[in-house]
Amino acid sequence: MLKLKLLMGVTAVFFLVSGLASAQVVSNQAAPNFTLTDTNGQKHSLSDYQGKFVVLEWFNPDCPFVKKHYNSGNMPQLQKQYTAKGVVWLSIDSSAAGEQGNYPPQGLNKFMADKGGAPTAVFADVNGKVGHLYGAQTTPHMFVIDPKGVLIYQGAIDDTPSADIEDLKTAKNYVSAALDAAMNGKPVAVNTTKSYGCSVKY
Amino acid sequence: MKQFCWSLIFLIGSINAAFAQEAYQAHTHVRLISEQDAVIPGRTFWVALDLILDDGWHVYWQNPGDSGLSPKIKWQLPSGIKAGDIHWPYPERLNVGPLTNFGYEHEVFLLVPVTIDQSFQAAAHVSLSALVNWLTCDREECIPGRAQLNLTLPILANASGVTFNSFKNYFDQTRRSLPKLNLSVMSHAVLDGNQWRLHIQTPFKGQGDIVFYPFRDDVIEHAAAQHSQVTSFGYQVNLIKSHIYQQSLPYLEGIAVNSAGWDNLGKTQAIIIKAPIELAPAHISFLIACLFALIGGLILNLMPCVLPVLSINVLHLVERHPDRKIALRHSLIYALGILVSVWALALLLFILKSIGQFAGWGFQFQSPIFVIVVALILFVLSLNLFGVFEFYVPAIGVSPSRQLGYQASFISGVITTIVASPCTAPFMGTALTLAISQPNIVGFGVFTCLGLGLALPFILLSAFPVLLSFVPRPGPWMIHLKQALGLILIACVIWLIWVFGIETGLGDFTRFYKTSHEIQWQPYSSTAVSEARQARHGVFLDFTAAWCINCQVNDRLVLQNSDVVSAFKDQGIIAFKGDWTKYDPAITQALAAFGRDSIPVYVYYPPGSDAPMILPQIITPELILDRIKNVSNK
Repeated sequence: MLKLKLLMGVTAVFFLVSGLASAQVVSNQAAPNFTLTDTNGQKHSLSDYQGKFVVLEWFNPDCPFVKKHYNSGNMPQLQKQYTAKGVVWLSIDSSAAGEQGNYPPQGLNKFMADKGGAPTAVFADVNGKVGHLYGAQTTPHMFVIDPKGVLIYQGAIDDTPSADIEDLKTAKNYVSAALDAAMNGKPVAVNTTKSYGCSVKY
Repeated sequence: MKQFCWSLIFLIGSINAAFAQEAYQAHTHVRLISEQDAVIPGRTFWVALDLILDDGWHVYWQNPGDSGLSPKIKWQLPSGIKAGDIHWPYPERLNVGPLTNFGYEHEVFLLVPVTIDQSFQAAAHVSLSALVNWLTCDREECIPGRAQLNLTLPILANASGVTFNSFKNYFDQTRRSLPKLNLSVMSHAVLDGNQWRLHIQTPFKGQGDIVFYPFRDDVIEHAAAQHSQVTSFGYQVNLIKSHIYQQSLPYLEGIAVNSAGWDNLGKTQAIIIKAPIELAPAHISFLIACLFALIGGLILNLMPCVLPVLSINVLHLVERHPDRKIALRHSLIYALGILVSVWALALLLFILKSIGQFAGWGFQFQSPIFVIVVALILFVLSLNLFGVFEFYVPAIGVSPSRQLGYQASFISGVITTIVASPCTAPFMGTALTLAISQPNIVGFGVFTCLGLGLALPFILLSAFPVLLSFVPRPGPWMIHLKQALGLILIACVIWLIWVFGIETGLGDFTRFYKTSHEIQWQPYSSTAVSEARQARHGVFLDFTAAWCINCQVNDRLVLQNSDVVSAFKDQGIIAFKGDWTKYDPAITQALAAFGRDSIPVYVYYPPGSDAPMILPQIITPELILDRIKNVSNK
């Protein structure tokens, strides 16, 4: 009997996990709402930001692809440029406890401070709830949501999959392209790409 | 590609000059290796980027899957030396949490062909340099590697002095893991909702599991389980469409790895797949399919062999003014005759389907006995119309009084169905595809609707005699009409005799009027098609049958069109005719591979292309010319 219950439990967890893993969002559809507590103890819901552009950035301080974009100053510069224009920039680390990139809130704050990052808020999504909700696969993995709450871009940060800082010179940034187009009332030319980077350490 | 013993390689390698200095970075020993100790100007030789990974670490295939990055080689070569693209051995699925990567553990040889120009004759050495970038990951972390590698090889003037070194074995072993182009394998992919169905037709079927690795990273959900099953013609692999798939690609491309191998010896493990993508027939509901079948059935009443049979019954109504009740009863029994024969046909189709045979609408005309019996019945009917006999509907059940036997109405319904079956009407194809692909109970429902459509005009005319009020009173006009209908039936009889002649091998009775200016058809055989494709000819396939009226119409109006004939000749297109007049397993299999259950089917392979274009069932000369021209202009 105990074995049966255990089996059922394991099966239930399996379906729950596989269900979570397969959650996906579709561009040009409503972005699912979520609530998370940031590294300073403050609660944020996506629905709080109706009327504003929102960028979701999946990151992991120890991933070389994330390092490429932070050490080069590329990501901090994007964060500064767009938060200055009223964009809400939420940086999310979905590394599970004990996995690479899992840090206490102060650790994530320190990483951002050291790199000169300027997101609106930083989150440790330790149970991977929001990561699974959006189907975040890699770090970085970017999502852009318009003021109506519609997902207007998901995928790679730029068109050059590499961990090499040199490649930033020639890469075309998809996130700024989507934001610039949408802010000027133009359609987003590329609204979905395959993200590149390290796997999210769920 | 599996791990070669690192220390052994090191030992052998160290006494060998054919590889350069190695680097160790990112948990990876990396180096360039040549298969030959020396190279000859004007020839191509093979070089490998050898990546030897620490335990638990992996590198990536050309499509890394959900995360990761594939290795890149930036060659720095003296002019006169050209390095080709990486030839990737097939990868493994590597699961990392909820994600799946495609890559290699332990060790991999990435093969690159290098061609060296004649102008190197005078040189003593050639030096190859490459900047290699790769990413190594384990379950936990990823580390980028970057190394500048060199390889210097002596140059020899002629082949006699060239020796292969001890790495040759590893090159050969890796070559066995390269995906092969196999022309005897045909594939197509159906996109159905969020699912891909990849159909792979192969003459050799093992009991293996198939794993498909796409070249693009946005076509399938990499982490989703792949389900492969053995089918009557090969394999079917079900894949989940990537949620970021937005393209409308012409082909699903990648490699398919078969655990049982793709040949008898299990030597070829991986093959290249370039499967034309078709969209699954829109998911029409049963009611829509039924409506389509009904409309199709109605239209079938206008087909040349059906119209006279229907007319005989209608004329009977006009002539005899039977009591309305009796007329209605006759029409319902006529409908029953149609339904019973349609059901019999459906039953036969489903039985054939269940034993793995493939059959489609009209397949019964593959039997010469069936054809000649139908010809005889139509002949008797036409004689009847010419007034040779004194009864109206076929020979059985005619009572001497003016009262007509119910059996006759039933038989008349059966004949209507039989003579309707070599024709396909608009709307019918969609409905019948659903009928044959769905559970049998749904199929029977759709066939029933088809039968009702076929029966409906006569039921309506019987139930509402007012519909016939515009018809003049019986008079001499009726005799002329009957004779005209009789002539149509005679034409049908002649056509059936022609079909019979071809099926029994007695000869093509119509050959005398064929012109010399026509496409030079060759009989279909998969080997001949492969050979023609290998010789880089354009290849056109026509799957047809003498009893298929639509096929014959396309043949006369399009494939015998002088512009089309000239274009085929000018472009050197080799044309194959798959004649399905008689049952032929090879042609049945070829049809199944293209996912078709009714003919005609037209397929065009552009020169040198390994992917077929499947043309619509209704073709025009413009369409054919456009397709073959478009491709040759490229």
